[in-house]
Amino acid sequence: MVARSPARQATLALLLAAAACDSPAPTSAPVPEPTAALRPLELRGTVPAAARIVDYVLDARLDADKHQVAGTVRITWRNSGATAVDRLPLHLYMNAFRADDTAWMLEARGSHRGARQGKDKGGMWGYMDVKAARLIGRGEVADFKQLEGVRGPVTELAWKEDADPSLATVTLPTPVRPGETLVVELEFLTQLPEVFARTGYAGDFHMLGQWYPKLGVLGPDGRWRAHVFTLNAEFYADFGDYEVHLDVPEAMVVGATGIQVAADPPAEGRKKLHYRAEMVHDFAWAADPRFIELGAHWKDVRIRQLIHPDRAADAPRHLEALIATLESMEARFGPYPWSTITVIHPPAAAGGAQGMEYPTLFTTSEMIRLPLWVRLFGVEEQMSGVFTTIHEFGHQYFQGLLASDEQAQPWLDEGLNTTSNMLVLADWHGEDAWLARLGRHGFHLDDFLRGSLDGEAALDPVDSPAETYRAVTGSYGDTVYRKTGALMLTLRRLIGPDRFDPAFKAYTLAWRFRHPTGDDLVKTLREQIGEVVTLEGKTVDDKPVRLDIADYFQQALHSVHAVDFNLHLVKNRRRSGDAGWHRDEHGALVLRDAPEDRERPIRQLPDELVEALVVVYRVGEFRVPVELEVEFSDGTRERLLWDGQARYQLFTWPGRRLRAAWLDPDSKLLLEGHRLDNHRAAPEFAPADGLSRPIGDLGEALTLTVLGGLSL
Amino acid sequence: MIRLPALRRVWTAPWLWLGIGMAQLALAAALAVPLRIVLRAAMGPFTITGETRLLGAMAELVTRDPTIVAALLTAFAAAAALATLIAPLFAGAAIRRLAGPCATGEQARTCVMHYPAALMIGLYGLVLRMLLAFVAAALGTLHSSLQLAALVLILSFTALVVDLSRVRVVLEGARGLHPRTFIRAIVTVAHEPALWLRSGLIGALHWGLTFAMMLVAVRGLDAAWSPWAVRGIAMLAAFVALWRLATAVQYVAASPPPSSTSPPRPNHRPPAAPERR
Repeated sequence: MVARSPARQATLALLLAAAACDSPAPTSAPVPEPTAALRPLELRGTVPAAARIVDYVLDARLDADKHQVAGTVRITWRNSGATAVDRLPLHLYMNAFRADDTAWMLEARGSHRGARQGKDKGGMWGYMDVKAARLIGRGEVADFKQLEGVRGPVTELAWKEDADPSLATVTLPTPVRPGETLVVELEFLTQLPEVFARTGYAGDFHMLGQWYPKLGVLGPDGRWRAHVFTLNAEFYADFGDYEVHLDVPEAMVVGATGIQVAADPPAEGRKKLHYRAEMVHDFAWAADPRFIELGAHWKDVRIRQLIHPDRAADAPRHLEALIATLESMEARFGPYPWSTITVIHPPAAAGGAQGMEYPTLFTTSEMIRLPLWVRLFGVEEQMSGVFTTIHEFGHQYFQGLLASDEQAQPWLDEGLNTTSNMLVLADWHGEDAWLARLGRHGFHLDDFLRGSLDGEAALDPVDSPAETYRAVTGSYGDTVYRKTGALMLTLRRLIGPDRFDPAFKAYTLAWRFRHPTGDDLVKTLREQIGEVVTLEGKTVDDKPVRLDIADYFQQALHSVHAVDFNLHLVKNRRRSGDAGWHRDEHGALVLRDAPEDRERPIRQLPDELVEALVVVYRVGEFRVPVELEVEFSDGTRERLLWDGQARYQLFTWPGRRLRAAWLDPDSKLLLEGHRLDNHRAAPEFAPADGLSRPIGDLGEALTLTVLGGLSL
Repeated sequence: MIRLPALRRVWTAPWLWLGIGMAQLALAAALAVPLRIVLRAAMGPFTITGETRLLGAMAELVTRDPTIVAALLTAFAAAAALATLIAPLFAGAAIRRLAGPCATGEQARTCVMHYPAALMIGLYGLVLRMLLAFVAAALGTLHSSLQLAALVLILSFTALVVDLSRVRVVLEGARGLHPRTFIRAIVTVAHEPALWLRSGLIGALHWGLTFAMMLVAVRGLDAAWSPWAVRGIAMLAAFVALWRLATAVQYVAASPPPSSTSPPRPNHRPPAAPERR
């Protein structure tokens, strides 16, 4: 027996106590699979039959050691256009990570959202190699599941990669006529990179997004939409059904788009799973033997979270955020149509896979765990984890359901989704919701949106294709996400939620399971709101102030003009009198004496001899109505609307003395990033600036802390 | 009845406490002036409204005027530098006064005379902290709780060693520039766990007050009461800092005089015990 010293015993006791404090490892709590991929008709609403353009049947085998997926994809596509097509463009997205000189890598230079490309030789690159392409059949069928009508002799197809390997073209032996259905089969091998830019592997964790060849979208003009995959370009595809057969190591816990409809008994250390998804435009999945499954329901929608045990304590908070988002978005934008939603929590080592959306599945991010001493200071945040969950689920609508072209108009999904995120947070926590907080001071939703409007957001118009935004400028996030949110919510506040919300909902209902464009959005809003909205409120000259919706969107989407007003002058001056020479009724000049108090300082004059004056400059090029509120010396307040068209506007109140003036007092102009010059007091009432005292006090306190009683 | 002779030494020297406390308040206020001026200039004639909207306004201001951040960082860096340089200067006077009543001139003379030694001892303390921090980091690889415990022990140990070294320099005329005085203090503290515990507890109270200062400043940001509460706590922290120093003074005063290897300086006067009332 080994004798133990008291010190060693104490150390051992300390270690045992620490170990005892660890909570027990959480275990899986799954809920049953839904029986159908879509919710019942009465809950999901109608799914237009014409929206279904392309079906995929995938058979894939994951080699978890080599991080490869080998498989076949059978694509059944209907020519819904008005002209015949003789080629099929294929997206081979994974080839974006194949070499330094792909369009994606040339822009990204090995970095995406702050994460670097894998350094390990084996995991640095990812690619997708198409081994074979075959025509299985073609014909006139209405139902894709009934393939008898299209089966025919198998024909090998010629195909080749385009100049950028993220695209390839399959040449058809004969053109496909409008209304005709075509079935092609492709064999492929996908090599995953170490997790980078949404996809890849990290240890045993595998995230498979954009892992199979995907067909482009045939536009109504008969031209294919298939874009080179660039840094900011995401995805664009037609709706259809997916039948996916996955062959994975037996220990893997799998989360996938859609529902699992069958599972073969495991054999030889592997298992086969069969998934089905309906009316979606992509299929993604994740696999990790360390995942535990936590299930829940919202109404009839199954919620499935796959998470590592060490992060499982975060799951309830994610679930709370997800349910709040479902509640808000279903009420605002129409029913969520699918029966399931899966939340993947990529492990910390796979940070590059966090925060990405796929149909009925999204990846979220870790919540920052603030130490106790930081929380004691009143520091709280909802940016990590919670906001990611809200944002990525939001994409189920923008663009999971409203499937806009993310390359041509990225603002239409990211920006409208950010708009919806702000509305979700306001529905959940109230209009004064915050994203971070220090004591009683919050960093509010308005601050979040406005924070983007300086600098980078003024470089590119909102309505720009994804490749317009250059990585080195950093303008993409600020412009596409937050500036779009700011412009949509500015309109909402200007015309009021009563007008805006039904109009926005009309857009989301009209374009479900379709491919809306920016013009479609603006057109719908103009139809619903009206071409011109007369804003409520007293105006400068009693003429109504009108907001031209088309003009508003023209400036907001197609220019880089900034909204910026400035309180140039807030003062009281002597009211104009009638002293001096005037002609009397006989035409003779008569002198009226100046009042005795003519030289008295303004502050000593009675109010009736004073005239209040405010001068507002429109500093920014963006023309938009703005409200002015003034407070008089007697405490009364008045509001006036100005149409904001001219460069400046004078406001005068003869016989009144002004205390202070506010521009945009209700903070309607979220597009205005510079607001420190929006409140100003008349010189004789000048209060403290509101910043130098509290921040100076904080600085003094920090200094005292550093001095620490002079520490001696 | 609990006997707290070290506390009595501070309690009977109220002007010392008030002087040091007021000096640090004045210093902090002075260092905050440039920051206030920069902010006032940046705001110009405008004011911000909304009681709880400081963060957004600050974010906008900092984005537009990065000099604000520079002013803030400069104030803190200056505070840290001044604390490092001035604390040893005050330490001499404080030790002299805590040892017993003496004239202001005598205190001032002690400050100046022992400043180099006090500064050097502070440097030795810094080196010791860094060395022991490696030990704490190594323990942290075993368990985070061990690291925390080690840090507490290291900080309290080093603080007492520095205090004791400076007290011996001032009261016994030890050679402060030579590392032997510092090493001797290390040995003493290692052999006096009770003294270490007393000093450590008072030190912990001091850290608690420092933390409370920040807590009040942040939690009460923009509240009228907050700066005054912070100043009050700072005065209390100064008192507790003196109390910790007085434990070392008390120990040296109560110990037998050192051996002939380090004779007292000719101008050294034996410390007088505080008068009992």
